[in-house]
Amino acid sequence: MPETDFVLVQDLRKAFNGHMAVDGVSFNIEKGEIFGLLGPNGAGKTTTIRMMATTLPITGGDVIIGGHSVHRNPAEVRHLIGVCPQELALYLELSALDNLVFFGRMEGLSKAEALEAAMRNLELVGLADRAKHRVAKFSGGMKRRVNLAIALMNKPELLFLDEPTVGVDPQSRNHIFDTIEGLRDQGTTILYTTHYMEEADRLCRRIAVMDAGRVIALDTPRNLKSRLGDPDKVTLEDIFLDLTGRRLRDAG
Amino acid sequence: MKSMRTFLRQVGLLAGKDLKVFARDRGALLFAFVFPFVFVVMFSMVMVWNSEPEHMVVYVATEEEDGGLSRHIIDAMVSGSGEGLDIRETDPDKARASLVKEEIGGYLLFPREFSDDVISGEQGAIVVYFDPDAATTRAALMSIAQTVIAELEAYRITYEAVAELAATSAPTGTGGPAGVPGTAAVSIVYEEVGKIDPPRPVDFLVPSYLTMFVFFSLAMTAETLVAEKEDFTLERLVSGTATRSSLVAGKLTSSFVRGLIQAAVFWVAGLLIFNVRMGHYAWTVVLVSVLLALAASGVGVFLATVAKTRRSAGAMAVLISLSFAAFGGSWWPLFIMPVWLQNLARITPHAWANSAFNKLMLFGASPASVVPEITALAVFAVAFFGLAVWRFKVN
Ligand SMILES: Nc1ncnc2c1ncn2[C@@H]1O[C@H](COP(=O)(O)OP(=O)(O)O)[C@@H](O)[C@H]1O
Ligand SMILES: [Mg+2]
Repeated sequence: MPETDFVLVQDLRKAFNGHMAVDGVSFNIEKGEIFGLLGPNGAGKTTTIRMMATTLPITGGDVIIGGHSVHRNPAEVRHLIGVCPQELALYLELSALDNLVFFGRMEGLSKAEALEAAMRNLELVGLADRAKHRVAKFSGGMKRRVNLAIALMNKPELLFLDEPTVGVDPQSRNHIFDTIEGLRDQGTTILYTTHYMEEADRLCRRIAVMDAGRVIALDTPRNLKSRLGDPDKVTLEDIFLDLTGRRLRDAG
Repeated sequence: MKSMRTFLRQVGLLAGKDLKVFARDRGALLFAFVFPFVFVVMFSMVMVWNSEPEHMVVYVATEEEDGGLSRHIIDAMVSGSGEGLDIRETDPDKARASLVKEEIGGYLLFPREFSDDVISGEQGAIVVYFDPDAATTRAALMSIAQTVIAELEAYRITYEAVAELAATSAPTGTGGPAGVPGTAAVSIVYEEVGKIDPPRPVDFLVPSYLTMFVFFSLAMTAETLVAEKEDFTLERLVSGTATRSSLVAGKLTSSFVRGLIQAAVFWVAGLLIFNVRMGHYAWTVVLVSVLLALAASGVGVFLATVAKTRRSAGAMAVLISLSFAAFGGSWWPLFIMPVWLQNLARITPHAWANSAFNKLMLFGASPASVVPEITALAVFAVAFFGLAVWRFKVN
């Protein structure tokens, strides 16, 4: 295995009441790359991330992050990762700044460090001028940006972004994309899930396409699309149809 | 050592965050701090003491020789006692011994000089011996003693009036009958804890509403903990370095601090607005309030591990808080409830807190007599916190 591999996912499995939500998933992520998990709703993307982020016990297989097993060494893993969950995980009654400072301090930052990091991250997502406003008053897109900014508080080496653009206005979406590209340029390794081909295409160096708990293809966006003709018009729907012979069950 | 420091730091941060959220929640603030006083004001205006026990045995004894005034009074009392109130005569030594052994809650004693004092116009006395814990008995003895005094007074006034009439219409020289008192009156003397003021509604209402409302708001902590599960902030916290025990302890701490603030507001307002009397040992009353807040916080975090959704957590908290309040002596005094119900009520933290408050504030009890209550509240706190940490799951 190349020494640049920062993340190794090996035959990862998760059963919920006998149903395999993740069924033998394997892939590697290189240091500093944005790796995409692309798949329809219910494919098992979030479940994969939650196991990788140590919040969900694994049924089988293992994940090695920076040399530490999520299974045997979750505490070490937690120091390396930041999670921007699919759902907003924020305190709506508090200001954006209070949210960031709180989560930062929980990760061990001093008050001064947390304040500084919070302002820097709010700047990064374009919300510095709204730092002291209550998150409850924010638009959906702004809340998503706060959700992302919180994940950056511990300067993670590996960042999980689980559908960070769902229900987001174009302005916020652009802020989020800029932020992600900025982080990549600084060397952060990123796992990005989405069910939009064009997002994966813009951001990700490589993509694993998931369906029903399995990886059904793993390649660069270009290679995945070029099988189907005009790369500018190809969607996940097309790729999915090509790979499975089925339409998306849930194109929601 | 380092992990202990991390733990405490996280607990502090989590609690601080909760308190900040609480401080921004107008509804919760109103419920915690304003609502209770509306209740206390309303009820202190309408509440009257009406605490007739169902059936009660009261003991009286006299040290007087046969033929004394007390003999007649006791005979009248014993023969007049009926369904609700059973008055029995006993002898002074036996009564004393039974009280010491806590077989009876108290008794009335007519002292050796009773008749002499009354007849000679000295200040007579009926002595009420009682156990500070036996609130109902004490109340009954007090009212019986007052009745006796009122009757004697009426008798004296009638007698004087008749004597006056007789003096003006009868041949001179008869005068009043010897020994008819001119200014005699009989007072009641309380033994064991000396004289204390009769209980007033606010001295019952303020602490029992404190119990009800502090428990109520802290039980609602369950909702905020389950809400963090539903809002994924808990998952975010555990994907960082927070542990289950620091999460539960953080919730418990913020809840406890809220309870302390609420209790402090109750007591300050109680003292300033309602002129509440905290009894002879105010610090014990404070200690009971602190332990109640701790026990209620324990129940609150425990409920969060039982409830599946924040709605069910809220519903459970409301249901438990209201039923425990009624049942645990927050709506009417425990000591007027049947004994079996009083015993059953001990499954609620309310009963222990209210019983301690009532003993201390209404009946002038000493700290030693509320040791069981204090212990029980501490056990509630530790047990429920332990159960909560044990059962708490993030997913
Ligand atoms: N906590 C859970 N309990 C039971 N089933 C679950 C749970 N979480 C996810 N699932 C199921 O696992 C499958 C994969 O879900 P998920 O990982 O959320 O998919 P995706 O993120 O790709 O939309 C779905 O069928 C979903 O219903
Ligand atoms: Mg998902």
